Amino acid sequence: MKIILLDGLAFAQPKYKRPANFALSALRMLNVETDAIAINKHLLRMGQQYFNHPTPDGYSDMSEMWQGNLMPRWQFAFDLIRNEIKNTKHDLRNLLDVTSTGSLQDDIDSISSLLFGSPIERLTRDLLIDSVSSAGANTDEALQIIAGSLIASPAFQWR
Amino acid sequence: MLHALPMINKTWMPRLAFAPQNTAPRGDTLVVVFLRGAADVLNMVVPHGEDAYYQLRPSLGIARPDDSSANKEDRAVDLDGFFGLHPNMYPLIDAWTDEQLAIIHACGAPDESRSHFKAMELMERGVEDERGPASGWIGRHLATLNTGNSSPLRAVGMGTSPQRSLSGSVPVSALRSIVDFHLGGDQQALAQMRSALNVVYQNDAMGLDTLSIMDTLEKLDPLTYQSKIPYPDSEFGLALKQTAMLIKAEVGLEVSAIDVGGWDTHFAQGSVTGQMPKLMKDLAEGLAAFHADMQDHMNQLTTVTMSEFGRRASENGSLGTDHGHGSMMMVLGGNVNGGKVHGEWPGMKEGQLVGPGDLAVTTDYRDVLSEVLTKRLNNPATNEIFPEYQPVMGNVLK
Repeated sequence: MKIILLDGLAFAQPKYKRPANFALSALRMLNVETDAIAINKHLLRMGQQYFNHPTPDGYSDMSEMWQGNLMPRWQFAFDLIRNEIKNTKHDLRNLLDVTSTGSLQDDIDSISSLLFGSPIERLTRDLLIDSVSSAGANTDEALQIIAGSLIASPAFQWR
Repeated sequence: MLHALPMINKTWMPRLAFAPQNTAPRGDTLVVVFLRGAADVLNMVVPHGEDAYYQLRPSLGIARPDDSSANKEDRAVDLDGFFGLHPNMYPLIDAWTDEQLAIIHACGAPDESRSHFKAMELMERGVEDERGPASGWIGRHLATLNTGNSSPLRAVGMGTSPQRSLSGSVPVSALRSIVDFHLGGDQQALAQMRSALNVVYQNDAMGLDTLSIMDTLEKLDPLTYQSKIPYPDSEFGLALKQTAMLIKAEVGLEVSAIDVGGWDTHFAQGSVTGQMPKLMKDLAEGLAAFHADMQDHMNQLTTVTMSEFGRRASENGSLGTDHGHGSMMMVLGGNVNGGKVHGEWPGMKEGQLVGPGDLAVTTDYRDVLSEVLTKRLNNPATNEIFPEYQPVMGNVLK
């Protein structure tokens, strides 16, 4: 409130997303339909299962508490993007259809704009495509893997 | 605007609230086992030389080692002529005779609330009352000592979320299972995910460390892990086994925190059979397996067990015990003055008990932990780890 009143939003520092923030932001950005039951298992692995904090003070709001546990976030990102979470579905192609020109580069720009507000740097994008393609991914797989890695990326962990 | 990956200007990223003022090489790996629920330590390390113990516990008391009226397997296992192990704690006798197990009896915290919530919170924060830092004592240990170790597995809480004692400015990991530290999919999909993560985390040390550890742990499987003595088939056994695997895999583990629940034995506690003897069996078999498995690492390993408080000296009408005060700690390791019960025994006679009839605390748990921190973990900053407390160094560790 103080920050808003003082017109000091520019001074507000980003916060590391807590697991629920992270999961919900990914679900929202991908326009996911879910019954949320299986999402809770992922939140458990990430350390923030709903209504399960052992003490009444609730889950920590400190960034440092959450930064050391990347693997469950990566697992969630890739499970989500591959539609491997039970009763949780998105349609990446449909999501991109409006803007897609059919090129992988443009699709990655679109998905990164969706997630971050602007396309990722061209060099980074091309490096991602090269590295995933070298590992044997076709175009559809590459889009999926790169989209997953963008959700798993450091940039998407902050708000 | 975010234009590139990694896209974040990292200069503002909060990492450490304050720079560690101490730099030292890594000391021992510390394993902290917390017995949640206030373990009845008087039935774990039995003061069989104390007549009052038997007067206060006519049903639950563990028979003296020389009590021929009791089955031999139901008697306490003598340690020093006054104390004895509960028969289900017998697996620890090898560590005791090897002088690698020390017991500190009548040990605990000054808090007399007898509330699990409050006592656990204060003990895990390492503070005397509600004031003081919200972080945990292990968290502050990690924050005040620079060991040059940036591993995401520097400190691990075995379970679904890190223990309160680990909280602080240094990130820690919660690990249910080593198997969880994998990405799903076939080998080709794994290679693709890995290559993409390598790009997006190319300038992020923690991400790169996580990738590196993922590679190491990919080769480990708790199901096929072999040890000299099998670990018990329990959550505690699995936690210890995985701790052993992480230590042997050299992934930078400095602290492993393990919880064992179920010790709040108000009803039908059991003397030689029942709920608490079962817990003791699991605890002792787990620690014994860990001790045998880690013999080659024992000089760089210290394991501590603790509980938030002890239980009432007398048994209650439900064949259980109620919340008490004085507890007990065990310290297991290659540099322990073991084979000895440390601390001053306050006695259990009328006038010697405190509050509603509880064992007094004669050694503050912070004295033992301070010894571990300074002598084995190379961290002298005990005044920050246990604020407003001046530890009294004992002789539990070399």
